[in-house]
Amino acid sequence: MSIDLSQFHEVFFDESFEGLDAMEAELLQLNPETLNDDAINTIFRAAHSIKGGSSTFSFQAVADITHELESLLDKIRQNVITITPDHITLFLKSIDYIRELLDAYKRKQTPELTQLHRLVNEFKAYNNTVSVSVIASEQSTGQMQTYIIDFKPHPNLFKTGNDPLYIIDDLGELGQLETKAFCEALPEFDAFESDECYLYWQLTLTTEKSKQAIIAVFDWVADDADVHIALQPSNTVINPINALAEQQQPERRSNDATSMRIDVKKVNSLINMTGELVISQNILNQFLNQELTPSSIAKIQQSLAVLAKHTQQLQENILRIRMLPISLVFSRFTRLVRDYCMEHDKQIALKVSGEHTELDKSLIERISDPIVHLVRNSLDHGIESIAQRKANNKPLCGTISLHAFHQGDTMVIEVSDDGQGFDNEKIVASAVKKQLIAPNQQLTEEDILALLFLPGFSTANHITEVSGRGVGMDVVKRNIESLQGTLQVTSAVNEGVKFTIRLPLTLAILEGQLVYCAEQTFVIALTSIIESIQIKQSDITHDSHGRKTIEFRNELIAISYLGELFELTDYTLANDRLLLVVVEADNERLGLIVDSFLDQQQVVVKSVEENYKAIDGIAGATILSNGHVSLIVDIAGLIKLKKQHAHEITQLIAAPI
Amino acid sequence: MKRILAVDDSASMRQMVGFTLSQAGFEVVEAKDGSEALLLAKDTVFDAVISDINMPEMDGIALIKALRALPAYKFTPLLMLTTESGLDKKTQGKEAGATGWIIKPFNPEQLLAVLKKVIR
Repeated sequence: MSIDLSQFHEVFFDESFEGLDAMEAELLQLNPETLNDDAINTIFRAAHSIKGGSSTFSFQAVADITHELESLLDKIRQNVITITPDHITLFLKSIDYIRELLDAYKRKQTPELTQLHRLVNEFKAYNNTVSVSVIASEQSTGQMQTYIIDFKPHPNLFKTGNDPLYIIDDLGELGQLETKAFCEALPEFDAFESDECYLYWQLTLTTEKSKQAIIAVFDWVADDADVHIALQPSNTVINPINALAEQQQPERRSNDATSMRIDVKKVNSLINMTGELVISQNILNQFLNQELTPSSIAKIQQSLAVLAKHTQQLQENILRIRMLPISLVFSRFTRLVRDYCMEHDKQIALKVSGEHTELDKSLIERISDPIVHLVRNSLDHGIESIAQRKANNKPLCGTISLHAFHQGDTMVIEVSDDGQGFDNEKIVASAVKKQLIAPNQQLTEEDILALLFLPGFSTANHITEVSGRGVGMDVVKRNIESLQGTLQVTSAVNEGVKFTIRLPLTLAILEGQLVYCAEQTFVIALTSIIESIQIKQSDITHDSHGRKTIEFRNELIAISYLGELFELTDYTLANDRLLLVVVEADNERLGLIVDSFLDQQQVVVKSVEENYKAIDGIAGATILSNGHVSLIVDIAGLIKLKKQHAHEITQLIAAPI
Repeated sequence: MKRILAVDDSASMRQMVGFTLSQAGFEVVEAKDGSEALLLAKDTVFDAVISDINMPEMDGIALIKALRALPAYKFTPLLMLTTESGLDKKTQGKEAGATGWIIKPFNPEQLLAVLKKVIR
């Protein structure tokens, strides 16, 4: 039988990455002085599983290093070696490297092995082991030999689950076997115990296999039987041919689909819900063959209401499947903070709360980088050096806190520190220097902090390894906004900074405002709408290029007819009263004129790009309750589109006639 | 059809063992640790149990000991999955009542060959 082992690789990778995360988390909490067995056992078990899996699935490099790692852990576990911070550092380095190896194997690439030998040697220095052990002696001697084997099971053999007949059968597969059974030990019938073994055998085996191969057959019963193996000295036959069977490797099929592990409870609740749906459907089916009466109509309505409730619950449950705890993101920071403190003159504690709060898988993957950036900002610019904190009478150990919680349909993630806070004067000075604002411009506290998110702004005096990667706060903000989220910041001098990220729980469902325009229904995400207002024709002004603008909250914003932006129709302002939706994205506002407002409803977002192709200004599509397809407006894209239009018009005007 | 209980906390190993055995015509039930296995084993009588040693909750040795104490498992083949380095585990396992062991790493063919020693 041939079984393609690659079908288990994906699961192996998933569980190994999880195991590595667990190992890392335990190691980071480990205090050599108050060492507890549970932590070491958890680490050991994870290493052991990865080792077993990697050797089974032939990821040799992973097997090699986890073997050494496990040996050292075992010595620590057995108190042969006392754990030191150096050990922990080596473990952590190895975990990073094993992740790299697994990543490479997962992408079917040849892993980088130079580090392997270095790490293995480091382990070997601790483990005190000789480099290579020779495994298993040659099984075949190439010579036919005859062995006489006495096999006398102890009476209790059956109670170990072994069966002497299977063992004898196994032996028969090694060569030519003659058996002789002895019944002398059988007791009288009265004394006979059905669960004891009374028989014993003398077996004559002619084989070219070695004595080790024979011993191996009796391996399991070595303690439960007397086994004596002797070589019959005479007839030795030489076997001239030693053919090797070519083993054909089955063609490996790749399986690149990303997978995720799901809690059984979530699956069970889905199965339950599906059952409910089937029941509702059956109830409705009953009415199919009946004549409609007022009472049956009432019942149908009732059943439909139940069906609607169940469908909605099912939808919620399915969305919940994709939800993962934010701890997946938070957990990596313990390491980041630890490594940072070791290299810098700072003492920082990381406080994490609400790490079990769940968020959609796709959001988890994309929110990670922005949070890393915020934490790095706190590490580098927020928390002061020990000397500085001492001078300011603050606890020497700074604190960075990560806190997550649900607020209605929103996920809130707070990244805060008890550092020096932002220096407003420095921010203003820097903004003036970079010509982002005019000198002497009057700014509120809020305005000043908003400067942080302008492209190209940075208060750092020198670029550091941790936060100086050329990515500014503006990118962080834009990344979060691309996830339909928001980023806010508050700061107090000498008390610290708090960033608050708000995200929708999922991107698969959107609270939308339906608008009607140019004989089409469009959906605008409620989160991007600032206000919907009625305006008069006379409110509209024109800028120097003849573009329509309107004053909105003391700010001049460009306005456009939605249908015009999509080139559906030219628009003439026929009515005196117009409906205007003010939307915002990337800190820019735009007024959209529409024909009428329809419902607000939750819509399920479907990709246009995957099913058709990407369209500028369109974020996706959805199917409305009346069965019609409606396009979802991409506000950021629309603002870009509008700018392009403006650019073209300007060029047209500027072009010589 | 012979029924086998496969116990391992590693999903990939469990699936590999489960798939191999079901391809070979066995009915397989999987459990992720000793305590889950013990509950299943009390509920249904299996013809053989293959268990990993190192598991959270109840480990393989404790599982074998508990199973062997049950009348229905007095003679049942109870195999442990172990590694070359875990030699002391073999002794512990035998003392607990294990029938034998399978050394990791193994491939499906090796697993079936070993299993043939106790169940056909």
